[in-house]
Amino acid sequence: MESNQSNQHNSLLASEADSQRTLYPYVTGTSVVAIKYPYVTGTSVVAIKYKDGILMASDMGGSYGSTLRYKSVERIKPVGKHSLLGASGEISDFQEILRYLDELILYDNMWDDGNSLGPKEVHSYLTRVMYNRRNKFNPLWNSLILGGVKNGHKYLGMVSMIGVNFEDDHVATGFGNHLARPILRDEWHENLSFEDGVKLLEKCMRVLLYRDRSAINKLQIAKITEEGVTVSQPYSLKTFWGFSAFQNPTVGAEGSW
Amino acid sequence: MGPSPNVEAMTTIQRAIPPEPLDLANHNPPKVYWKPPTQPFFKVNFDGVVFNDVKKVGTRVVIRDDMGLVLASMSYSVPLANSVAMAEAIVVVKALSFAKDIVQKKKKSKKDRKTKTKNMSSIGTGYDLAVTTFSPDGRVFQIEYAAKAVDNSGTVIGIKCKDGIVMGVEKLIASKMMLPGSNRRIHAVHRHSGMAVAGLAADGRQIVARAKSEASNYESTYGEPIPIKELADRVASYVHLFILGGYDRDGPQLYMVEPSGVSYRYFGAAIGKGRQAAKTEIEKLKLSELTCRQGVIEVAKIIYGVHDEAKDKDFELELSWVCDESNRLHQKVPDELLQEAKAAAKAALEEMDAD
Repeated sequence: MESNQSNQHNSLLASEADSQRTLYPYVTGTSVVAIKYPYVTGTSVVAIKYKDGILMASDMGGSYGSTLRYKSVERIKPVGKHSLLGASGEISDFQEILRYLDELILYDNMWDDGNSLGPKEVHSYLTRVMYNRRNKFNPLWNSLILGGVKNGHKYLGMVSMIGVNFEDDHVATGFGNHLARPILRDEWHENLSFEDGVKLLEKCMRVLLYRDRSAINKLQIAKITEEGVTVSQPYSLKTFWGFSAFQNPTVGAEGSW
Repeated sequence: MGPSPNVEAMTTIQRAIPPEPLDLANHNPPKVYWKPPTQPFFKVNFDGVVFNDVKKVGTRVVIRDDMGLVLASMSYSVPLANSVAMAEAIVVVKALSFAKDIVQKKKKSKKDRKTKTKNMSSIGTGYDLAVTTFSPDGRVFQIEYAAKAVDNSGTVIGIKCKDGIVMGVEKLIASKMMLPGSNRRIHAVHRHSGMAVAGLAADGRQIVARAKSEASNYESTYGEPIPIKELADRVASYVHLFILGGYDRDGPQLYMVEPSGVSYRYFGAAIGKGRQAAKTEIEKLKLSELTCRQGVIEVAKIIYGVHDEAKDKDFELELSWVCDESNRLHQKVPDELLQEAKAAAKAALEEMDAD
C-alpha cells in the first residue's frame, strides 16, 4: 500500500511536466487526474461589432488570486492580418495560445500563395484547441473573444474554457456576461459609429470597474477594420464614487452583512 | 573460373625450366607504375618471353579493372617464332583474342544469371549501393550521383546585395499543361529566410520541411528566430543541394549547401546547368553597391542569359527576396517588379543577339 501510494505520487510528478499548475492528484479508477487551477488571471473582455468593424475593450490587470499583482498585462492581441484576440483567465495559458497562433499563422504564410487565415478560421481553430484540451482534462483556463474583418465581413465570436463557442453581435467574458451584456442588449445597434462604439464600451467598462473587484482602472480599446488593427495606449476612465449606494452599500439589503 | 588447359600447360613448362636468379646488384627497376584504368574501361597488360633452350615463346596476359582487381589472367606457350618481333606480334594477337574471349564470356554469364556478385565484378563497382559505402579510393559514389543530378537541373542563383538577398531560379517546365506557378523551387523556411532548390524537386521539399521544423523548433526553444548560419548548418547535416538566403541580427546572409554536406557562406552562388556562366556573370556585378531592386533585374538577366533555348524546355522565372523593402521577410518578388525584370532580361538578350 505504501509503495502504491508513492507510485501514484510519482505518476503525478511525471504528468506535472505538461501542466504548470498542479495541486492534488484525483484518482478515478486507474487514471490519475490532476486538478488544476489558475494562478495569474485577467478579468472581463467586452467586444462589439460597429459600422466599420470590431471594437474590443479590456483592462490590464493580472490578479494573483485576489491580489492585484500585475497592472500592465496586454490581454488584447492581433492575430494575423484580419483578427483580434482578447482573453480573460490564466495569463500564461493565453501566452501559450498566442504561441500556437503564431505558429499557425507562420505556417500559413509560408505557403506564400496569397491566401490568409481570416477570423472565422482562427476562431474555429481555437474552438478545437480549447475543446481538445478539456477532453484531456487539462483545459486552457481562458475565455477567448475573437473578432475580425475579412473581405467586408465582420466576425465576432467567443470560446470558453471547455470549448463552448458561438458568434454574436456583441460578446463579453466573465463578469462582463452579467454586467456588460444587458447594457449592450439595450443600447447596441448595427450602425454604431466608432465614437459611439467606444462610448458604449466605456460605459460597460465603467460598470465593470465599479462592481468587479478584480477590474482595474487602466484599460485598452482595440479596433479592427478592413484597414487593419489598432490597439490604443492604456488609459483610465473618469469615475465618481460619491453615489449614496456606494457610501452605504448595505442599505436596503438587510441581513446581507 | 576453373584452371584452363592453357594454365596447366604452362605450369609444366615452368617446372621444366628453373628461372635464372636475378642479378640484384645490377638490377635497376624501371620507374614505371601501373595505373588503373578509369571506370568503364579495363586494362589488358601482356608480355612475352622467349625460351631459347626449349624453343618456345611464353605469353602472359592480365586483365584488371579500375580498382586494380584481377578479372582474368592467362599464360600460354607457342612454338618459337623466327624473330623477337614475330614473337611480340604473336603475343599481341594472343592477348587480344583472350581479352575478346573473356568479354564474350562475361556477356554470356550476365545473360545467364543476373546475380549481383557477377554484376559487381564485371562493372567493378558495388560501391554505389549505399550512401555509407566508400570506394577503395575514398569516394562516396551516391554523393557524386546526387551532384550529377543537381548539375543537370535548371540554374539556381543567389546574390547578396547591400540591403538583402535575391534568389532566382530557372524553373524548367515539364509540360505546357502545367499551371504557371506550380512546382515551386523557392520556398519560405521561416519569416526571414527562404530556400531555392536545385536537383530533384521532391527531395527539395523534403529538405524544406526539415528546415521549417528546425527553424520553428529553434524559435520555440530560444525565443528568437533561428540565425541563418545555424539553419544552414543544421540542414547541411541532413542535406541535398540548395541555396539558402535570409536575414538575421547579423544582416542578410546567403549560404549554399552541397550534396556532400558542406555549407559555405557566399556573396553570390550558382548551381545547376548554367552555374559556370552564371558565376562569371555574378562576378561582374558590384554586389556591395547593388540594391535588391537592382539585384532582381540582374538575377533575371543572368537566368535568361544562361538559359539554353536550343537545348532546354521552356522555363519560368521564379524570384524571391529578403530585404528592407520586404520588411526583412522572405517573400516572392512583387508581380510588377517581376514583370519589369523579365522585360529587362528579354531586352538585354535581344540587344546581345543584335550585336
